[in-house]
Amino acid sequence: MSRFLTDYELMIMLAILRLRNDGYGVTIARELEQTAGRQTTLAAVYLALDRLERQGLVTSALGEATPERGGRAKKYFKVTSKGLHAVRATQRAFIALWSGIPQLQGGTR
Amino acid sequence: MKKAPALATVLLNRLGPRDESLVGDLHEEYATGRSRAWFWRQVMAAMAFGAAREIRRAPGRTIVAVATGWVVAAPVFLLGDRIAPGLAGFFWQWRQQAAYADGVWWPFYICALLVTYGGFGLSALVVARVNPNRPAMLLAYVASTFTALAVAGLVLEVLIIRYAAIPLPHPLFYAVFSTLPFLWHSGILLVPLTMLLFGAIAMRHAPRTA
Repeated sequence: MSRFLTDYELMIMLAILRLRNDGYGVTIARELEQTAGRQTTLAAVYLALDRLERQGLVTSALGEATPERGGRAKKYFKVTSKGLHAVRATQRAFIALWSGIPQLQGGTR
Repeated sequence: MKKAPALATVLLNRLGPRDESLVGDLHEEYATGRSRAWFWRQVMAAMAFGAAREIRRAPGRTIVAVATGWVVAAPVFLLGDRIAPGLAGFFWQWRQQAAYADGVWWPFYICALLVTYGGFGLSALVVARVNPNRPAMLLAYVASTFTALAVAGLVLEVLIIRYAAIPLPHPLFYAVFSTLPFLWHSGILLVPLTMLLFGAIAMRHAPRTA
């Protein structure tokens, strides 16, 4: 059975998927801010990514180092198949809870 | 290239999480035009979240670090009542018996503060050196135990002034008033700052690990 993700973890997983499995800390945080309107800190993003990686829901690979990064490498994240299962399981749980609530029918406002 | 705030960078490098990718991301994002306030906020968050991650990964290390901090600081505090009068006598020819008569206590107070904060500094140096991978979090936890006692001391003092009596058991009174002299007046804000400062000094030449 897949474990359910917290709302923040789900947002991060969706951000990585939206970035076509080619996101790193900065782009993931930007995606959260620009698409979901959720203000966050890079440290919070990394804390969640660290937890997701230890649970095998994402994997990471070091990328290129650039001068504006002080010569430090980027770390790119990718959702694993186990991670995708967890996203789907969480989505199903949310949809099931969502349905049958009259106040939440018809629009997102 | 836009240069990040120097002090925040020092804190991040010496006391922040040992995560090169996160540090690189912070510098990259700052270079795109983020404000100094943004950078400071991110550094503080990095230190706090690094702390949370560390305690989750190794709670035992936190307990050992707090115990180490106290074991190092306690002898200094316990000897403070003997060292401080000696120092005050050395620098200002101050004598305790005379102070009871003339009421001049400031040389003793200054020396007691020096001894007390010397104890915090020594404690931070040892804790940071023994735990070079995540010093900020461990120092924060050690400092928070000292600060908690400082707050307890302040509360005790207010109660004593208000009710002219000690409404608490003697051992607690002894722990707060005798082992941490003069801490409750200045310690609430200065203890964490002192410990971070000495921790940063201790980490100056420490090797960085991934």
